[in-house]
This record gives sequence, C-alpha cells and structure tokens, in this order.
Amino acid sequence: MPFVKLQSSDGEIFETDDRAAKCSGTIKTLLKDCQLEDAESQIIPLPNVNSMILTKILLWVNHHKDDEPVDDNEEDRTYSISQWDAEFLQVDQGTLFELIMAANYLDIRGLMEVTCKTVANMITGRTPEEIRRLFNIRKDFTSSEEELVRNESE
Amino acid sequence: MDQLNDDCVCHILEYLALVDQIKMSRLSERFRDLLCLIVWRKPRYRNVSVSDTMLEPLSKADYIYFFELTSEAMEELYVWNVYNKAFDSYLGRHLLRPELAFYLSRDFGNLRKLCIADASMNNSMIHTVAKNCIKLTSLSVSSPYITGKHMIGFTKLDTLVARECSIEPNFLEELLDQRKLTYLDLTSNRHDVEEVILKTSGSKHLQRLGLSNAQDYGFHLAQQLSQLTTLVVSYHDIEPDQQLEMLERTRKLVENSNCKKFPQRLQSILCNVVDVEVALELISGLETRQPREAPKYSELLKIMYYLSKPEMIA
Repeated sequence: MPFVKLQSSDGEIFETDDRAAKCSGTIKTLLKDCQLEDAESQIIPLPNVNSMILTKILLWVNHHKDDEPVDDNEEDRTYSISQWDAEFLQVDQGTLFELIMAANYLDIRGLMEVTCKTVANMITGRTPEEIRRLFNIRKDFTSSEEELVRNESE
Repeated sequence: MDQLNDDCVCHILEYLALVDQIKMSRLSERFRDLLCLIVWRKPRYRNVSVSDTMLEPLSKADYIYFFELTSEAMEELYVWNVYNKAFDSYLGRHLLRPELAFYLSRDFGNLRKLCIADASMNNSMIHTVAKNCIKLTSLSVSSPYITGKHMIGFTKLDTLVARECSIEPNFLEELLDQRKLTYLDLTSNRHDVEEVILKTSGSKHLQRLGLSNAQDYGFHLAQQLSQLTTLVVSYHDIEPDQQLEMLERTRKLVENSNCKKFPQRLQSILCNVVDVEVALELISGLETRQPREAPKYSELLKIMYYLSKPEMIA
C-alpha cells in the first residue's frame, strides 16, 4: 500500500496511507502537481499543523477515507453529526478551533463541516450573553453603535 | 473565536439559522461585517420572498434589522400579504411584520426584480420605488390604483407585469416608446390598451405579451409586433357564441393572410379558455405543446355551451 510522510510544525514525522492523506485537498493537489517520482521517500512539511492536531486529523481521515465524496449541494446539508464524530470532537474549545483551522488549511471538507457544525450547535439556542462568555467575545462596537444594537434588540 | 480566520468563521456562521446569525451580528462588528459582506451575499439571502421559511421565526425587530443590513445587496424581492400577519388587541392593531411603506422606503440599489402583490399600491408608491430601485429591470404589481404614472422613472425596465391594474393608454405609450420593454403583461387591465400597443412603434421590442380581450385572438398584434414569440390572450365574460364568431373571423383572417398562418415566429398562443387555445393552435398552424386530441368544431360548440350553461345540455 502506498504511503506518504507528513511532517508537523514541531518536526515530528507521520506515515499514513496515501488514500487517507488524499482526504486533504491540499495534500492531494500537492502530490498531483509535484508528480513526485518517489513519493514514499519525500516528506511533506505541514508548517501550520502541530503534532497533537495532526495525530487527531490522521485518526479522523483514516476513519473517513472510504466515505462517499460530499455533494456540493447546499440544500442537502444535514445538520446531524455521526456518533463517531461526536465522540471524536469531545475536546476543549481551543483544540476544536485548531482542528477547524487545520481542516481549513488542509482542505478536508468533511472534517470542516463536522467541526463547524459542532460550533454552530454550541451557539444555537444560547442567549447573546452566554455566547459572549462561552467564546470570550470582546465588545468591539463603539458605545453609540452598541446603544443602537441594544435598542434594536428590545 | 479570535484565533479563527474569516473563512472559518464564515463556515460556522453558515451553519446557523438566520435567527442565530442575527444574534451573532449583534455581538460583534467582525461577525456583522462577515455576515453582511460574505454570508448574506449568497443567492438565498439576495433573492428574498417575505414568505420565506428562513424569515418566519424572526421577531419584527430582527426582521427589520435584517432588511436594513441586506436590502442594498438584494437582487430579487417578492412582497405580499403584509397585513396578513396582523392580530388585533384592545391596544389596537399589531403587525408582526413591517408595513408596505417600510419596504418601499429602503434603498434597493442592486434590486433587479421586484414583485409587490398588494392591492393598496398606488402611483406615488411607484414613484418612491423608482427612486430607490435604480437598477430594476423587472416589476410586477397588481393594484387598481396603478395607472402607469411615474413608471417612466424605471430607466432600466425590461419587464412589466401589471395584472388587474388601471394602466392608462398615454402612460403606456410613453413607456413603450422610451423603454425597450420585451415582456409586457396587462391581463385584466381596466382600460383597453390594444389600440395603443398596435399604434406605438415602441412596442416592436415586445417578445412576450399578455392581454385581455384582444381583437381576433391577437391576430393583429401577432402581425404587427415583429419580435413577438409568445402571446397570452384571455377572455372574461364573453359568451361562447361570440367566441365562436371570433374564432371563425380569425380563421378567415389567417386564410387570407400572405403565409396562411399566424406569423411563424410566434412560438405559442396561450388562452384562458382551453378549447379556444386548442382551436387557435389548429388555426394558426402552431405545434401543440403536448399532443392532444383536437375537438371538432361542433364538439367545441357543445363544450363551450356546456361550460356556460350546463343546464341546457341536461
């Protein structure tokens, strides 16, 4: 089975099978465009992903490597998250956000979808104050603007 | 969420229902800007109907807030039944949605298509809309108070659907002469406007025309308007024998014309009386849109009588 080597930002090298690695649009394009002659001896550096996140991501892509490609139809979006994914995403908020950024950088559609849905579910049904506290959102409106926003929300 | 880049934040925002998106937009300027500039620029937020399910759960304040933030970018808007959302109490009438005037006063700088199905629309409202929707190409209204006055203010108008209005011939003439309308529907207009359409050279751009009580099933219109491909005629309160008489006259007109046809470029004639439509397709030599059995004239007569006076057959 062909495999590829990935190097995390902190220098650790991971080996994974090539089908799992190709869940990432970024790695897929890289492999195709570079036409690496001896792909197995090459190391792909991923300067934006640390080894802790890369470990998580490899776990996810190995579980999902046989999934059907996601259809681009916006209407068809389902808002449910599978049991496995839900357990996989039982992580602290910082890790969740790092996963989102890594999925975005590596262009892993399915992971992006499921992580963003998780955050969206955290927002749904909460009051503005709760959301502000949960995500530590600063008030960046000027005071007059905020006055306006507050009046409108009454 | 500060550590996430804009792309990631937009992804998250897209998974939220509109109510929650609005909540987020009130939390921080960053969310509001991302929503206004990216998420709400997607087609489903730019082509809006007031009965959209996404708008349904919004409070009146949120609804107004959403329109205030997005109306400038909207491309299509359908408004109807603004008063249907009302309930009454001892304090007076409460509307769960803003009044018609709210929509009319907004700046819709990018709106191309507007449909307001509200019978209280009047000429001065048309005037306001023309000022606020400078790029409008398609207008659809239906109100007896609309006479066509101020419609010339829509400088880019291409399509006018004004059913059950009171469009006056002089305003229509001005409009046809100065705006190159390709689609005009004046079904059930209060005034007879066929003559002015035939007379005005501006009507030569029309590709689709809808008209009530056109003479000889629109034969003259079809002859005169060189771009016309679709003609929709409708007849109301006309007796079957008058219909038959007109069919016979039309048939003779077609026979005596140069090509023995309704002009060939005409792709379809639609009529609100189905049997007349079938007969017209036969007379005009048009392909039927779907194959169906053609009734003979005597059968047609029976059908029409039956439709108007069922007790006579019985």
